[in-house]
This record gives sequence, C-alpha cells and structure tokens, in this order.
Amino acid sequence: MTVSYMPLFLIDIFGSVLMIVISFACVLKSLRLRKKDSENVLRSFLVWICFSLFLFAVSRSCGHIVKQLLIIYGYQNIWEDIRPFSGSVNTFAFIVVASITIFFRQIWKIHTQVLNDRKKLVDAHKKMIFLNENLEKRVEERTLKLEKEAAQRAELEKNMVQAEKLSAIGELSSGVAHEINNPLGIILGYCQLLLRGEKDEQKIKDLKIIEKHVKHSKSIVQDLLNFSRSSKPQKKLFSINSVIEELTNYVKTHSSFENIEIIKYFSDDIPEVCVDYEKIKQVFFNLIMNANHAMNQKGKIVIKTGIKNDYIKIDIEDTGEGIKEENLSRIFDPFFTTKPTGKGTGLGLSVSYGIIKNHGGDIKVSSSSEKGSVFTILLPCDNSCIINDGEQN
Amino acid sequence: MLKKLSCLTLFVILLFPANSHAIQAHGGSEGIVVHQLGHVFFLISLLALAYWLKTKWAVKGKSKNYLRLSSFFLILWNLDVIIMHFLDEQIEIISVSRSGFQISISSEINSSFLEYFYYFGKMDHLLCVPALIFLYLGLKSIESHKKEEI
Repeated sequence: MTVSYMPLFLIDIFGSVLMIVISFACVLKSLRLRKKDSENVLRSFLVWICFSLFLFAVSRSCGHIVKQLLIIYGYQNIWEDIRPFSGSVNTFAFIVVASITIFFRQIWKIHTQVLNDRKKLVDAHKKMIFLNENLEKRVEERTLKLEKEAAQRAELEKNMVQAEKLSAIGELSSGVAHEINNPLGIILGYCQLLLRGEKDEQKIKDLKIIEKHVKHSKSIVQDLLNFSRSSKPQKKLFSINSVIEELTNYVKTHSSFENIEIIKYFSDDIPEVCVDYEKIKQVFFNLIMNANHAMNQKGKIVIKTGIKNDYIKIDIEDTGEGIKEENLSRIFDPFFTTKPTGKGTGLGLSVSYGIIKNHGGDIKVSSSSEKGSVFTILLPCDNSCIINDGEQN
Repeated sequence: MLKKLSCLTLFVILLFPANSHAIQAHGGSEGIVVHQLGHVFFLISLLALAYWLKTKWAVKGKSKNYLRLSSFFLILWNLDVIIMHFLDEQIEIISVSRSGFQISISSEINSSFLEYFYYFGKMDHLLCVPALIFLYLGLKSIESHKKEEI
C-alpha cells in the first residue's frame, strides 16, 4: 500500500516536541510539589519518575526529530550510525522509569511501615506521659491522704488518751470530793460558829486561818466536782465577741489586773454560735486568769477573734514567762500545775479542755520563753441549736 | 594445611595458563532483544502501578484517575512499540520504501490489515503524548487538591 508520509512526519515531529515540553513541565510541577512537602515519599517518587520520563522524552524525541530531518534530506546512512546510541539511551531511560515504578511499591511499603511505627511510638509516648503524670498525681493524692489520715489518727489517739485520763480522774475526783465536801462543810460551819462568840484575838486569828484554808479546800473540792460533772452543755446562740467583751470588762475591775493591758482585736465577720454561755465564759476566764498569773500581774494580754475554715478562732496571748517545752504536752492534764502549792489546783486548763471538746472544738497552746504563750481555741460555726429549739417549741 | 593447599593451587594456576572465555561477545541482534525486554519490563511496571492505583495507594480522587489514565496510555504505547519493533526489526515481515512524501508499505504475507496496522501503529506519539498530559494533570490535581493525598 502507498500512503502519505506527512501524517507520520507531523505526528512524529510535533509529538516529539510536545513530549519534551510536557515532560519538562511535569519535572517542574513535581519539584514544586516536593518543595512543599520534602518528607513526602510519594512526591519524591513523582520527581524521580518525571526526571526519568524527561530523560526518555529528550533522548527519544531528539532521536526522532534528527531521524526525520536526516531522512528528509537524504542522509539515511548517518541516521543508521546514530540509531544504536539513540535506541540505547531510550532503552536505558525507560528501564530506569520502570525500575523506579516497580521498586517504589517496596519503598512505599517501608515508608508506610515507618510512618505507622512512628505513629505508634508517638501514641505510646503520649500514653506514657499521661500515665506518668497521672501516676505522679495519684501518688501525690494518696500520699496527702495517708498523711492526713496519719495526722487524724495521731490526733484521735491523743484525744482518746486525754479522754480516758479525764474519765478516770473524773470518777476518782467525784468520789473523793463527795466524801470530803460534807466534813469540810461541817468544819467550816463550826469554825464560823466559834468565831461568833470568840473574844480572844489570838483564837480569832487562828480560827480565821482555819476558815481560810477550809474555804480554799472547798473551792478545790468544788473544782473537782465541776470537773467530774461533765454535763451536756446547754447551748444557746451567743456572740463570742460579746462573751469576751463582758468577761474582760468584769476582770478589769479586779485589783490584780491593774497593771495589765487587755488589747482586743475582734473580727466583725464572726457569726453567733451555739455555746453554753457559762461554760465558755469559764474557759475564757481560766485562760485570762492563767495569763495574769504567768505575767505576775504585769504585762499585756492580746485577744484576737477571727474565722478559719468554718471555725471561730480565738487567740489569747500573754507576755508572760511562757511554758517550758517539757510541760507543753502535760498542760491540759488534770492536777498538773506549775504554780506553788496552795496557789492552783491544776484543774483550770483541764476543765477548759473538756468544755471546748464538748463543744466540738479544739484548744491548743504554743509558747516561747521570750514571747509568752498563745492559747488558741477553735469553736465550730454551729447554729444547730436554733433548729433544735424550734423543734422543741 | 589449608594455607598450604591455597599456595599450591595458586602455583599451578600461574604455571599453566590457558585461554579465558569469561567475556562473551554480543551479536547485533542482542540490541533489539534488550530493547524489547526493556519495553516488557516497563509494561509490567506500569501494569503493577495501575493495579496499585486501583486498589489502595497514596493518591485519591481526581489525581488518582489522571495517574491511572497516564499509566493506561503508557501501557498501550508499550504494547504498540513492542509490536512495531517485532514487525519491523525482529521478524522483518514489513518493508517500507519512501518516495518524497509518499511511503509504500508492503508485508511478506500480503495483508493489507497488517500494512494499515503498521502505518497507524507508527503514530505512537498519539499514545505517549496523552500519557504525559495525564501525568501533568495528575500532578496539577495533587497540587491544587492537597487533601486528596493521604
């Protein structure tokens, strides 16, 4: 068959030129793509493919164009010389393209595996960090809880020991006080009877001494009875500030407070709380009198009130000689006193301790020889007596 | 002992040299066979690529379709050139003579179908140029639709 050579010629020439142009455009595009994400292995693959195809397009197209031109101008023999080189380069180029394509799958598999492993590592790392942080937090929480529990247990044990001690002494005191109180009353009565008809100055003097000591003994017995009668407090709503104010106004009139300055820092935020007025007043009285004795009736008493964690906090500070460290743990024990014989029964702080505990509060002491002592009372902000009263009514 | 044997072997080799036939000569027909094998290898790699693109790969959507079309046209081009080389240079049943801008194609088996097939088969750029165009479009699609990539 005889046909026109023109379609073959034109397709060959234009096709070859287009191949070079398009493959070059592909190279540029793939490079741009890789530049945007240089770690992407797919983009690297596309760059390699495009470069190989461009090499193939250049060698093949140049070969074809040269071939067509040489054939047209009658240099067929020259083309026959060049042809093996052009064909070899073409062969080499598309083998490279084929190799890249066929081996890319393995590279892609490895890349995917690496990516998966990396993801797993990142996930595991995150999980470990979370566990580590959580563990630290849990250990911290547990440690705090244990510390709190240990402190509570120690406090409970201390309170139990104190309660047992108080209970034992209370029972003993109650028995002894009851047996002694009646004879003391008789001695005092007869003593006062004798005093009425007595004219002899010396005898009067002696009887007065007896009367004085009997009265002192009776007051001790009364203290013992008060201590042993741990009756349930009769609570009503009172303002702690008012109780202290009333008490301090009373004690100021006492001659032993002449050289004592009482400074008060009352907080206005303190609510009225349910307390047994008489017993709480007794506590403050005991503490203020103790401060007085500790300062040898000369110095400064500072009374502060405030709120701390749903508790009313009352600090009573003095500028006295302080309490020795070895005595601090025994200060609330019944009959423990540092005062000279006959001056104190050692029941004041013990009774105060019992009263505060019966109110659901706490009493603590801190002391130093330079600054004096600070008694801190904590009373719960309790107004439940209103409800109880209402129910009773 | 082994050392002594090695020394003895080396001594014998050096004393009695002979012709070496290690380098094999290659005839002229090997070029076309290598070229054809290259095309077959290229064809297989493209088939594999088309298969990967069909199943699961890193490219999705439009880009994937363009790349598949590109590989499809390259497969066709490879088949075309393999057949053309086979007819032209291996079994040599086609003879071509040119006179000006007219060419005369004749086959040894006098098949006009084969002659037309050869004539149109020679227009292989109609297959490889679209392949490159689709490759370019695929790249462009990846660039404009980055989300299509995994």
